[in-house]
Amino acid sequence: MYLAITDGTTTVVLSGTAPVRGCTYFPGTPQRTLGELQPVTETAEVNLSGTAAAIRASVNAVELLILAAVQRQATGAGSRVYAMYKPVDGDATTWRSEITDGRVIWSTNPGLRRLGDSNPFVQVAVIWARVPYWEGAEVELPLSANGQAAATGGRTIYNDPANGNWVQVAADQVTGNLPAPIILQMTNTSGSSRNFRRVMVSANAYSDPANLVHYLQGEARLSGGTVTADATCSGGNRLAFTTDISTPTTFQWTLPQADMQRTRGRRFRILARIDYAGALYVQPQVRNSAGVILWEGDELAFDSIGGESWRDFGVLPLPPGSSETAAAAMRLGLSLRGGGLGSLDVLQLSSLDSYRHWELPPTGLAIANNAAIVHDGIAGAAYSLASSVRTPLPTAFGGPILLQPAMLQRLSIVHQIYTGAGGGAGEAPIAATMSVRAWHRPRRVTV
Amino acid sequence: MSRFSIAVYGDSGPVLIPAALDVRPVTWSGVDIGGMWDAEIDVFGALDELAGLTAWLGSRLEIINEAGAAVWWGDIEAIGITADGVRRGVSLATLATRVQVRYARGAAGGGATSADTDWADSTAAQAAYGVRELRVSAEREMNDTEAETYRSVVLTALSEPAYTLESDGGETSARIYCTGYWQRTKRTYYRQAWGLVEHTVSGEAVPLGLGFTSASVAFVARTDQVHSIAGYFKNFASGMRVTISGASSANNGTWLLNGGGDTRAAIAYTSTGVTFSPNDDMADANGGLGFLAVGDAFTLAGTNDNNGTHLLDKAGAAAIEVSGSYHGGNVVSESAGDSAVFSRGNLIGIGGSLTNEHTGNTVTVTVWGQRHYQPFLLPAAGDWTAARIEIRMRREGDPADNITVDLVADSSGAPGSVLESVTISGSAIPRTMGWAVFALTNTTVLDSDSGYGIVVKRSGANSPTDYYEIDMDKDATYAGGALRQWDGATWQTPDPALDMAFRVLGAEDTATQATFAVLAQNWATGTDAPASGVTSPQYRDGELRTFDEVAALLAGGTSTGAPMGVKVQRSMAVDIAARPDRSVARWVLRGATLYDLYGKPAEDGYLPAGEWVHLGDAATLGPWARLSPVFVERAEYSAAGGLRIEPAGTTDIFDTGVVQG
Repeated sequence: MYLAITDGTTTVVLSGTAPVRGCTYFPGTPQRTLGELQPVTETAEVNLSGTAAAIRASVNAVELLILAAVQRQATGAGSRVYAMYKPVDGDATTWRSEITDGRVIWSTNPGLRRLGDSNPFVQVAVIWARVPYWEGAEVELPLSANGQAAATGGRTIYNDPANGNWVQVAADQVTGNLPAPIILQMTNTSGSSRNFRRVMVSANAYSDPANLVHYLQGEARLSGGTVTADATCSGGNRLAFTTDISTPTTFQWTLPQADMQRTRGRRFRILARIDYAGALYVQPQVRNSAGVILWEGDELAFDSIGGESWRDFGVLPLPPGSSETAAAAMRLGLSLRGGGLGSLDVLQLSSLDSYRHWELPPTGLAIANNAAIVHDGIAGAAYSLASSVRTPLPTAFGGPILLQPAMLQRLSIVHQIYTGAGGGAGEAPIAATMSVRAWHRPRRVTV
Repeated sequence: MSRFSIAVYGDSGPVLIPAALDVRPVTWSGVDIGGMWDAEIDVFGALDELAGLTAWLGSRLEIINEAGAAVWWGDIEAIGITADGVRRGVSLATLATRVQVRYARGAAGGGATSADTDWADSTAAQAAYGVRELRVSAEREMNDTEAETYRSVVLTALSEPAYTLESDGGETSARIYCTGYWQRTKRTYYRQAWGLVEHTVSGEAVPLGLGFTSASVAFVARTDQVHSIAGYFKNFASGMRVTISGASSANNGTWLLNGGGDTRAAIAYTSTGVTFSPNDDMADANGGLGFLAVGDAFTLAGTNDNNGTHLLDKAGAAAIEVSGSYHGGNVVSESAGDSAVFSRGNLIGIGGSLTNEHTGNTVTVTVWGQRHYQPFLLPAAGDWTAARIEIRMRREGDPADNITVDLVADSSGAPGSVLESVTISGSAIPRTMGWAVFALTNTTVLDSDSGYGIVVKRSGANSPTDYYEIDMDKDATYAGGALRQWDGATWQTPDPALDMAFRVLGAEDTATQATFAVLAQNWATGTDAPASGVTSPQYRDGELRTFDEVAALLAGGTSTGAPMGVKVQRSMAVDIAARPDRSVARWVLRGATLYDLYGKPAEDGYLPAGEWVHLGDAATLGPWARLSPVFVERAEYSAAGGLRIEPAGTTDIFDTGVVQG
């Protein structure tokens, strides 16, 4: 067994390095309350022998690390302190679990705390509270992308759901037995600096990501509007439409039965690449194959959208209620009201197995070519990365992007940039590229 | 770790939330009228980090669930930071960046009148926190200078956030208190200049349709008086201007009355005991001529030689003397016996030179104001439709005709083309002076670029006894146009000038009014409000806050009887709509969790305020089944406890409340 506590700089090995002679430690198993794992409080009985000064120095070092852990919790700053553990010395992986609190208790048996002896034998109990999981070593995940085999070092994606805006992680790459956060690095490879306005990442693990068609082209609507060829649009076309403020205009798209049998009632966020002048009101709907409305979301209001924006049209259950494998085909409906003209390019069905949205300053955040936006879900941070310099990012919505253990999964990414006041063409360029890399630490409840 | 996070937006965009802070939204709520209402967020971390949160005061905040869905949005209104046994609070709740004082202004001789100071602004505070108005009432009588000083005191005191300090032994943490965007409507009073043109200064009753045509009118040059033997001058008063026609040419024209108010009723006295003696004597053995006064013109009939119009020189019950020169000859000797009929009416004095004229000509006397025309201008830029005209007037006698009010385009101070006309029965005009209402169709557009006017006229002929009076401002203080009066042939300008007491009111769909009220605050990114089908006057004088004005409008509901609600979306767009029908209930509440109709949980943290929600199982609800679904007036979500709703119309029958005696 190997057991230590460390802040990355100072390490006290509790399982053997002098004056420590060994310890007794059995990792606790966290309980679940309301579906959430609870922190674990556990004890390591540590035996020490040596000079009194050496013993005192070791215990003092442990107490200093515990103090650092407590201060980290109080301030959110400073190094994290971990319990490092492997059941067998020969194991390749040392697992870590962050300590949040603790203390050292000397034995109450006088014979086990005779520091006045020349080489006393002392026993102390190191008690700590830690997070309810163990993390393995950080490893870069081999990613595949549209037409690109799995590899580390970065895969290229496009800002176009129909042209590979995803990276895929193979099932055997996500080890452990708990969902695990990742470090997701999205490098601007468009060839020039871009003012990033917003980035949306969605993870699909449970809805057959390898086969689900996660987008609907605007021009694929069943009827209405005018299909207009446009090389700057996904699929080479867009759907031009007019709206009335009083009488809604509704477009419908077929959701194939095969896809409904993949989604099986899970919720999906509709991200639309749309251009519209004036105020627009959108109400998403799920209809059956005959067009009957089964489910309606809230009507959402959008101020003048300007040119080519990615907009969030809300969350839908696909299909409503059904978790059956024999789910029928459905239709996605969008009921639109407004006083202007618009064009709809593409809708992305964004799985919500996990979802993250970065809302950056209104005039965008400049990301140089080959600089990156990084979501560090492991450390709970987000920053831009340029020449090894990190600049924190402001607001992000949603929980951390989590990878599900032992499952094939895809991360779909779309982004929007700022090109000038009032918006305009080119704010959601479909040809824009990113190079995506990801790292994770497998998480386990027990080791 | 909380399932919910927050996003904060300052003036320049998203705000970085320090990673060292552990942010935990606690509760948030929404209501039918306004959408997101309030929220509380706990923040844990080091005191130094927490202290920095005060910079967020006034910023926008959103609560986000793990799926990235915003479940609440609004403004940060107050922040409390607890550490070391002390709770430091800072709040915008009492902030006022624009202040007015309402005070009792002392009047000479005692008493007081209500007065308002002008608004005073703190531009620095407005730059930081926007316009937040407060009208305060002074607690004692003040003069203007005192009131303005008090205004400065209040503005200085309230134009900064309120800082509080109190004992609190709680854990080191901060609590952020937020209010929904709709509560911004509490910040200012609502003024809407559209929909009202008025001039309500009054006090001078001016006749409408007072006049007559008669063959028994006599003119006396010696006194410059006109006599109506029929007694038609009872209601003619000094200061009136009259136009006379039908008389001999010298007496026709326009005259200013310098005498009037002769309320004597017409008298016709018959006596067989009258003896006539040259040159000017008439003696009545019955002593009945006392009703004649010196200067009275009267007619005499029934005699052999002395009939005609006479002017009394010397009065007496038994004997009188008349003017031979006025009559055109001396009294002729005549014994008693014939039934002599003496007829006398009343008179008016004329500020001019009349010539003697006996009765006989068919004379028309018209007081200016057979019609009245009051021009007006819209007081504020814009255009709106006129819904009604109100005239302060009364009726005299029992006029049997109608009153017509024409809304006209102004043509150089005189009536132009008629835009709309409305007639009501004269009997609908009050007997005592008051406001008479003339309802229009609310379709005629009035534009501030044009001039308009009101013509008030009667449908019947003038009458000396049955006519109308309009309340006028004798000082003519209305600046939007000068009153004109129709004298029977021409629109005349009264001298001295007058202005009518009038009101022209617009009306607008209540939902549209609500959107205007919201947009006037300049924070909503847009509004959507299908017409309610109910119209009401849109003018507002700034007495109530926008919040209260809109609430009152929405409470009026739609023409179909549905209440109206309002939501402010995350994009700060305001949606006003009728309450949805219960048949479109989308949710089911079981315990503290909301589900859709297919059994799937709603978005974590979602508030179904303003929605119909099914409660319980219809199969087991028994007689209560018809109550489900319920309409949610208020919904509150607790991160720890889930959803709680307050349905509309649920009153505790066991709570008798307080009965006001």
